[in-house]
Amino acid sequence: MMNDTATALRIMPAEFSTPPTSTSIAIDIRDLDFYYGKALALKDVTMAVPANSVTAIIGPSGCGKSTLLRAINRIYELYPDQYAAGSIEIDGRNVLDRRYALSELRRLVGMVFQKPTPFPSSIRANVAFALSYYERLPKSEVNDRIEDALRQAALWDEVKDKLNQSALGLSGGQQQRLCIARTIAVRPEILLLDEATSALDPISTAKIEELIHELRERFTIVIVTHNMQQAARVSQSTAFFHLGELIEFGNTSEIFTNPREQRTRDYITGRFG
Amino acid sequence: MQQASGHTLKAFDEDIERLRALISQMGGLAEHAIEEAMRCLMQRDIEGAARVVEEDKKLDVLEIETERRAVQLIALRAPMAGDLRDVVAALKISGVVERIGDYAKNIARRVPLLENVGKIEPLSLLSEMARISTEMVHNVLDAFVERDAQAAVRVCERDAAVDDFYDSVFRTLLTHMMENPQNIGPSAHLLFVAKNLERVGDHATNIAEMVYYAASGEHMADRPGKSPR
Repeated sequence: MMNDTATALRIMPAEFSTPPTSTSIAIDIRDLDFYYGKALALKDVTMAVPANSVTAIIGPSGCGKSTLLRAINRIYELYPDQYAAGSIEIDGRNVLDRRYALSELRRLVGMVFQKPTPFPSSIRANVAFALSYYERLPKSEVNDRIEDALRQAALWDEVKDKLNQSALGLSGGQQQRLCIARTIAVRPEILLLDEATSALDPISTAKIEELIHELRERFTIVIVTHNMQQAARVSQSTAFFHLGELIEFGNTSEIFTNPREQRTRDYITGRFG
Repeated sequence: MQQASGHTLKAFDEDIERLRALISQMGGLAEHAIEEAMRCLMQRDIEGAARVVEEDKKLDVLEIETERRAVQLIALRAPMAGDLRDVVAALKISGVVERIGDYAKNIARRVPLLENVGKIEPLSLLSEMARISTEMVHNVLDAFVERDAQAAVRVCERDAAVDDFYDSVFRTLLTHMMENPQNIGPSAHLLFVAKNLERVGDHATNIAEMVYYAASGEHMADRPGKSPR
């Protein structure tokens, strides 16, 4: 009896490439290689990112974690000499395929960067911009969608009386939440956050983390962070990268209490190098 | 399982080492307390027994110090994985070692009550039992310091011997009591001593389970090759 309970309660060890929390897969990455010119930045990465949960990517500088995000939404195409091989499937389609329209991909996959990047225009215009790009909506509905996005980004109460003021007048933390609102206004499936809180103060960081926690039911969220405590706090799955390779991928609780791989152990306990 | 190398932040290593040293120190005191209490019992050394009772306060102080340092380490260093398991184990082990000290104190307190009692048969069995259980405490704390899961398993395996001794002492004392009602008082005290020693063995086993988990990340009951209990 006791043994049954113990077995039932035990989190089964994670397979290295698929976290057991996964109910369905949102991003199916297979055999992904990524090149900056001749330099191979990601080597044969295969990982299945679970849907409607938060996946954290951790690893030392230069390990390829930001590169992975850049591959998922094909931002790299803006630069010459950068290319990806392998496949990244979202909803059963390979987004790396050139025939996959970038505008379609950008609606499906939103991205927020380390530094807030509001447009130098009003708060309202910041959120409305992508909306008007992707959808033709009556004005009243646009207003509803703006409010909805700002509420989801936990910013509405702070900006509802000054929607026509410049977004540049907001604090760093508010600007970052505005960028999240702008991203989710077009109702993407996936949110990529690249060090989205590393330039923020602790209170703004806590607000964004709470926001990530709330949003995870509606979106699949992938965060890249140097802050391991943050990865531990907000994610359900964690992937550890080192020198362009995926070393270990599993339940966050498992990775931070009992990682399987020596390199993961050394990194998260602060023994690297 | 050995850690690859020291932390990049050296002060982190020092903090963890200090925590380990505290546990070792507590273990040394508890071991010594059991040995002394048993020596006093054999030699009817009442003054020595009083010292054992008095010395137990040191263990209480060290337990508080361990708790303080462990909480501080968690707050300031945010330990992860093996480090976190180590700190949690240290926190739990210090509580258990303090209990072992209490058993020594309990044995020492019975020494004055047995002062005028003549030779009692199972005393030699008791000292052998004490030897094995203190050795278990010694070995399991070595295993903690060395992060040696296999050594922890070996400690657990010895617990059966302590239990066998207890059964044997129990039967012998029961016979004594039946032979002569005057033996009932002292025999009852010795029965408690035996029970205390048996509990020391159990606690060493508990610590072994904590050490196993801290060192390997797995629970001892789930270890490979282990038939389910």
